[in-house]
Amino acid sequence: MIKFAIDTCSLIALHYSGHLESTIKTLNLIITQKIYSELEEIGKFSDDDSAAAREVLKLAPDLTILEIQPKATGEEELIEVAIQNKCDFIVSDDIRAISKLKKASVPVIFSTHLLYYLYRASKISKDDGLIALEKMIKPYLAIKHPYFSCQPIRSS
Amino acid sequence: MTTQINIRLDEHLLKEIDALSRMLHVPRSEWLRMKLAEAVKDSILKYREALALEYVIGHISYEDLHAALGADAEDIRLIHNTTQNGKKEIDKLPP
Repeated sequence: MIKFAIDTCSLIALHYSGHLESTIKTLNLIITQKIYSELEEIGKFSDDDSAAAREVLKLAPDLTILEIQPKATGEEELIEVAIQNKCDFIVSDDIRAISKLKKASVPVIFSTHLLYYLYRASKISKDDGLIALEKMIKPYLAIKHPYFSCQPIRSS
Repeated sequence: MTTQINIRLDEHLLKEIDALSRMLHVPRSEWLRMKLAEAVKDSILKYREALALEYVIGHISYEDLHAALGADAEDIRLIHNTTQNGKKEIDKLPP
């Protein structure tokens, strides 16, 4: 089975897409204990991201959670877990971290690519995928990055 | 570095500009330069997402994008490249 090492913000983005559960149940998503703890921390607040984090935590039994030697940053842990477990992909929407993640020689993809994977695997329709992308874009446009919606995966 | 350009303006508009610049005690050319710079900044802010899309589609070059958006252009290129490469990687997988 294809293995994806995934970070916190990608899991939250997938929740916004409305396809978190199907993604988690279809794919082998691997997180570290640190990412699980981050979700718990985010989940303590009362904004949209916190609600999303709590929803991710409800589905945690279907995630593979690995304990690894603690590293200074989340990106380093993600690289470590991807290499140790021979992951096929690293999934991150953190554009500040992408340059570092690429050093792992494991392909780095966005959470939107997981939706594309579900579409290719006929798990969701093209319309479902496009609606999911719209849902993902809204909070990213407002909070995270003004150019996030420029990802042209919908053209495929 | 500056470059001189020539533009033709409606006479009435020019009279309005002159009246304003006299009122503000600012030379006409200086007032026009300032207003033009403000308009360009506002348009870049307003159309930044459109600029990103134009770059992704291939209608404008990276140099044009960088001229308009500065360092943010690098983020857009990174997102675009990661999106394209990621799609290629997913396409390699069995359906």
